[in-house]
Amino acid sequence: MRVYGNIEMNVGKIEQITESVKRFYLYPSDQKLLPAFTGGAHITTYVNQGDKTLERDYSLVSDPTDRTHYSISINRDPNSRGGSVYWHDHVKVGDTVKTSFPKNHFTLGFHAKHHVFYAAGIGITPFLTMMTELEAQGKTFELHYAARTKEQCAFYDYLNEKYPGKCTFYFSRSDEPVRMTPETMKNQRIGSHVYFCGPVSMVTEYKEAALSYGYPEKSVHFELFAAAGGENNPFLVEIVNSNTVIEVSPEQTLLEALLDAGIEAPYSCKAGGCGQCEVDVVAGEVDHRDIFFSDEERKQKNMILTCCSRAKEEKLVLKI
Amino acid sequence: MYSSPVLYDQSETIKEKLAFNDKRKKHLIIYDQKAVSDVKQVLAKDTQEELEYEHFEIGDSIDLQALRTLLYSQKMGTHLYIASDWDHAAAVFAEAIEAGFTEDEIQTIIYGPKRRYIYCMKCYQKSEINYDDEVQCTHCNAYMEVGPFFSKVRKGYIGYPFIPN
Amino acid sequence: MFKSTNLDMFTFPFTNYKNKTYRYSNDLVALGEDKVNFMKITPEYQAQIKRKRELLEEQPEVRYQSFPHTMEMQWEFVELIIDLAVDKYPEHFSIEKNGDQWTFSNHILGEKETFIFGDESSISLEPYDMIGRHFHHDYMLMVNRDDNFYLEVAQESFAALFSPHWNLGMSFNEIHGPVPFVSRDGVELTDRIRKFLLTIEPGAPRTRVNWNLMADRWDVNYETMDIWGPEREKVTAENAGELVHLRVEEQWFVRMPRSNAILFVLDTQFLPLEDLVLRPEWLEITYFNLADIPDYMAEYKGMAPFLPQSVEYLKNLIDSLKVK
Ligand code: HEM
Ligand code: FES
Ligand SMILES: [Zn+2]
Repeated sequence: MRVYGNIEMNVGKIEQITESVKRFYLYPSDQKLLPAFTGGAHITTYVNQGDKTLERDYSLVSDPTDRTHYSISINRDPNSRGGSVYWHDHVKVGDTVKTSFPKNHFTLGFHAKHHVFYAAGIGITPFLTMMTELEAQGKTFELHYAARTKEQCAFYDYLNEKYPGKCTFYFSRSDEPVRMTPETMKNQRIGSHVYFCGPVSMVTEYKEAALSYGYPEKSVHFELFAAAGGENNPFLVEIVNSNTVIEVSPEQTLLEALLDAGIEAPYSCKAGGCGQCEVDVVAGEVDHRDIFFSDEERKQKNMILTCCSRAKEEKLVLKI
Repeated sequence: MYSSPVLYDQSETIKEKLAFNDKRKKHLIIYDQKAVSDVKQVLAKDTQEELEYEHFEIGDSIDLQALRTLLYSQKMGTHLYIASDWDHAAAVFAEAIEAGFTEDEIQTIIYGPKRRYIYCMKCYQKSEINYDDEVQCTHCNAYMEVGPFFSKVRKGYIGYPFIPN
Repeated sequence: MFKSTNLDMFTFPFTNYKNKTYRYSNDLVALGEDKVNFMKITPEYQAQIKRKRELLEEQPEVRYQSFPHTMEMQWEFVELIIDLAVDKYPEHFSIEKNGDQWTFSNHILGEKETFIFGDESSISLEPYDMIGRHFHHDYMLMVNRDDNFYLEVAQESFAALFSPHWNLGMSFNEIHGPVPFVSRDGVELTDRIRKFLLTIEPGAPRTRVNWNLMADRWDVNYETMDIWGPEREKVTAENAGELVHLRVEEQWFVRMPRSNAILFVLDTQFLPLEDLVLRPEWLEITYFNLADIPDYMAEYKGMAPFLPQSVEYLKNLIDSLKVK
């Protein structure tokens, strides 16, 4: 069994499932069983692109209990950061890629009495495994799924066949265009949980609608697949009490840069969760990325957690 | 479900008096004879036109069949208000959770005393208590200090055993 | 009952606190690949297993609890435990798999467990309980539901205020309700650590060390508080070396992908204070830390009635070594 690190995989099969969506089947190189996972899980994939490693998260679309392989479905999106284009145009059967273990930040509500999914485009992917799980547990759910046309609607036949009567499709560019709207949330029974996956604008619209219909926050779940995920910027740090200036590169955390420069910076978890690496900020604005301090606490004292947070602009002045 | 909320004397749903939650589109009020005049007063005063109201009066005892039909037919966006004595409230609360209401969607207004229970760490049984700091188990007679921690699974406060000197 | 005899295998708790004395913090740290496998067979293995099984036999309600819906998770646990054991100690443990027909052998105890993987009816105990009885750790499965973790299965034999029976079904926050869980700077920790636990992913387990002092006991739980409560008074500066044990829990947190749970593994170790002379630097650091334990922490940890005597004992011991 696997407990540590990443998993090396071979691309065993590639299927073109719509004009812009390909499904990649990944098999473990060591041929040992993979971990089973839960509905809504994703993996981080690492693909070598020249001397760089392309790191992207994709929802798993294979059966959660199938431990022989994982599969992911990727929409080729020329306007995105380039991961999907690379996967589509360069990854071939027989290639080796690395993946993380399955992780899940988009789980089914445990106390829900009914689950209602809203997918836009490739946002369908996490719902496939969630529905597999609910079906196996005999729980009730329904899917609302918007795509441009029937041909561009990934998994259309599969869904219709597997979950008859539970799926409603909305094709915006068909002869009789139908738009998916949040209105269908209004009539859900008490105890329903709603889930949204799609572009930021869609998720925001649905989230606001749900709250305005009186849904409690805990019954509303969402995943943004065009994650805002701040890129790592390079910046400078000046340490006032030792009169040094250090450069922090995009590949480094501020903590790593400090330690490399021989500065005895404190730390423990290195993951934004313990507050041990706190350092006073004298000047400059901080892009806080930790989960330790609340906004309230950030206002009260000017500090940075060096293991994860960065400068908003070019420079920070610190006292250590 | 084991982690489902239960009504106990420190439930976050318990409020001093009925106050409508302005995030919801519909208000469902379930009350018994002890609360009837207060509820009528609030309804006469605080209702708004664009919102929906529904009520259910408990007579001498709860008509379970009717209560369930009512609870299960509710839609998202409904807030439930339970105004009654403890036993009625506990029964309605449990049914409402079963139907799908969460603690964020329930307000409870208790008329009269609240019931409290202690869970004996010696014999693993529950006894009813009032607000004393030390009690004796009604099943095994162990002396216990009443702890501040409540278990939803065991449905009582922890009883720390001690031997009196 | 037993103490650590191979000090190279003893997890001394205070090494990280040379400059600052111990306070609560989020001290969960990442594990290197070589440290992930928590299996550890010490000279005390047989004594511990014997005691663990006795407790589980005598007090099943107190020591083992689970919900009926956890069977699939229990099998995920069984597979993990067997693989780790066989991987680290192939001379002590082996597994034979014929499809779903598995035979696990424990060569130290000369025992075999034969079962159909995934089929609870093929064994008399629950799967988690069955495999857990071959290893000295305590095992807790905290299942991630919505944004918290809930105790859904627990097997425990060396408690420090832990009761599977009482804690069953509680959230991470409810379980830590009794702990005065604030940092040196007065920051409330429970909810921050809950959030941090949510970021622990499969493939990246973490570890921390918890410690306590125990007066002539291996196990203190709420069920027996009426007994050990008064017993603590018998400690004096003269007998503390023998009666008081430094009790260490090395803990691992492993995210289980199918259960979407954190498996919480505890390796509990004991060292009587008098044995600290075997490592003079440990003796110094222990004294330094214990002399500065704030009252609220001593009270919570249950050591308040014998902490002063223990500190005095250590001080006298250090002084006597200096004289020599
Ligand atoms: C997720 C699995 C965990 C479980 C099941 C667990 C369970 C417990 C229990 C049962 C207690 C005793 C509570 C009582 O007095 O009734 C306790 C105490 C404590 N826990 Fe946890 N815990 C977990 C994780 C953690 C983590 C991640 C941390 C810190 C980073 C932590 C820090 C502590 C501390 C500091 C105490 C007080 C112990 C002492 O001072 O001796 N726990 N825990
Ligand atoms: S090292 Fe833990 S928050 Fe930075
Ligand atoms: Zn009793």
